[in-house]
Amino acid sequence: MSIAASLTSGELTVKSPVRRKLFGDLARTRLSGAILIALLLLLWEVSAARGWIVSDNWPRFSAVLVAAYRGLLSGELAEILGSTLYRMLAGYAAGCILGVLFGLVLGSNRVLDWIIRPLIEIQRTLPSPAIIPPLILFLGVDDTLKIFIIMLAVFPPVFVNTYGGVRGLDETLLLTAKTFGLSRFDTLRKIVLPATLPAMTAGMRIALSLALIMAVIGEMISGASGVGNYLMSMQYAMRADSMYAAVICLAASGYILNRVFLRLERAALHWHHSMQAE
Amino acid sequence: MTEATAGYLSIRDVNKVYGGQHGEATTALKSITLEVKQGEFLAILGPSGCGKSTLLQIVAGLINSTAGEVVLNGKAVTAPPPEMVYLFQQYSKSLLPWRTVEQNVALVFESRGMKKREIEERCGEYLGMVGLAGFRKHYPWQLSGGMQQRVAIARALAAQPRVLLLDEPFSAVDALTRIELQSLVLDLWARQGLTILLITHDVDEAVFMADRIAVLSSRPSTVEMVVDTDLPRPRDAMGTRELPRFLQLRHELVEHLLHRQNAGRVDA
Ligand SMILES: Nc1ncnc2c1ncn2[C@@H]1O[C@H](COP(=O)(O)OP(=O)(O)OP(=O)(O)O)[C@@H](O)[C@H]1O
Ligand SMILES: [Mg+2]
Repeated sequence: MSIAASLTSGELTVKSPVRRKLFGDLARTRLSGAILIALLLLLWEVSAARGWIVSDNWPRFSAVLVAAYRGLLSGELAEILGSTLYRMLAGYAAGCILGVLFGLVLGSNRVLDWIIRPLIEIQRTLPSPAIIPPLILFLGVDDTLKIFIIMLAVFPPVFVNTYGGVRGLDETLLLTAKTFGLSRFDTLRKIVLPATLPAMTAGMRIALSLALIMAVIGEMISGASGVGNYLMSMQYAMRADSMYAAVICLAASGYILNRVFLRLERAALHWHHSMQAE
Repeated sequence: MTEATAGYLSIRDVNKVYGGQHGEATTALKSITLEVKQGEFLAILGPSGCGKSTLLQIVAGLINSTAGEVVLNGKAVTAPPPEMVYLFQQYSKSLLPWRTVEQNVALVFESRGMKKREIEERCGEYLGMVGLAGFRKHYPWQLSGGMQQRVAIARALAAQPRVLLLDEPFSAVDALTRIELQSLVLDLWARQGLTILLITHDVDEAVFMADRIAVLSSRPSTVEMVVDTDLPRPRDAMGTRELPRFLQLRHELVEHLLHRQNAGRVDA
């Protein structure tokens, strides 16, 4: 008996580290995040199929997938999604360009900084959706308005980060440019721009999700196309599966855009220490 | 060595007060006057914080003096002159991390309308001089401190300066690398007929490398004394350091600096 007891305890001490290692390895991979999502979707499917939640607004997940598939295939959903993404990217690009431009100029020119920054400070504390109704009066309800409000939402984070990057630039780099006789333009192009690139992309990363949010909000408030508009009309029409399908497509696009962004950022900043951690 | 010419680079009554908008005004340099001959190797010795970097950056035309002037070849220095290059004390911050070693050196060629091929060739030439031919495609942060300093030296030489301003160039490298780099710089100085101003707080280094040594007082600084080293060239990393004249000079300078430091303590 004493032998058996010692055996089992020996078995335990051998086995448990192995088991812990297996779970530990799993938890450390990307897969663990996907597993949680898969489990939640499964719960959704089962809760609808088994009637745990009985509601017209709670279709099965598989039904939503079918709706999404049909929508994308017929081109209806694809077109709606496309128009949202088009406006989002247009506004995003405009906001990024303006943010970088103003960040560089105000960061390096004190007089312009004093003149223009107070205005920017006011604009960036204003919640973007609040200016949609007054803007409608000026810009109508078309693409111009929506692209404009996306731009307004994208501008602040890009500007603030670029501006901070230029301000925080190491004096040594600027003096290096000076001692080698670089022109002002070359200093900007070859020294200031690459040195502030990490700060810029940090701002652009934040702005990316803001752009998508503003694109959808804009469409919900006004206009006749895009995912935001589609969501509202599907809600009125009580077509829950189409509504969820649109949400899922939106989430997928957001995820893909983010991945593409990270990929590009990584390529551009391969020299930066933040990219060398992994 | 080129013929020494008087009045090549003149530093006349240079004074520098750092502004006092957010705190007290600091008088870094009280009044500095130095004459440097063409082809000369001048070392500037001084305690930490006495304004050595400040002085050299004024000479380089990178910052303005409060009073006094710097004249190079008969022209007052108000902006960085093309024939002068300043090598930063913080050399690792002065290299561009997004450029490879080769591209860092190429920086000085790019604005001269040279062909890509030619630029590559010239970069290779200068990197070869400092013994880094095999590291052209590396990034600065992949190199050791001493190697980074070599890149900075190669880049400075690539600009083909007549005057090289070295701000404690060897303070951050280990003793052996330091000796190596000292000989390298001496060699390049002789071959290219440069005029060099070298800042250091290492007495040994000043005596070993320079023709003359200017000793600065502590802040607000003035030139305390100027001594000729009178040591034969070419200098040898081992041999020169064993000469009686070398030992005597080093002894005198260290004694002077120690004495001053003790005197300062009594005053305070
Ligand atoms: N940009 C600046 N603004 C205000 N004060 C400064 C500035 N740069 C330097 N100083 C002050 O001027 C003095 C001289 O500085 P400097 O860097 O020239 O000294 P240094 O002799 O090179 O010192 P070290 O040997 O440590 O390199 C210091 O007291 C410093 O605090
Ligand atoms: Mg210094």
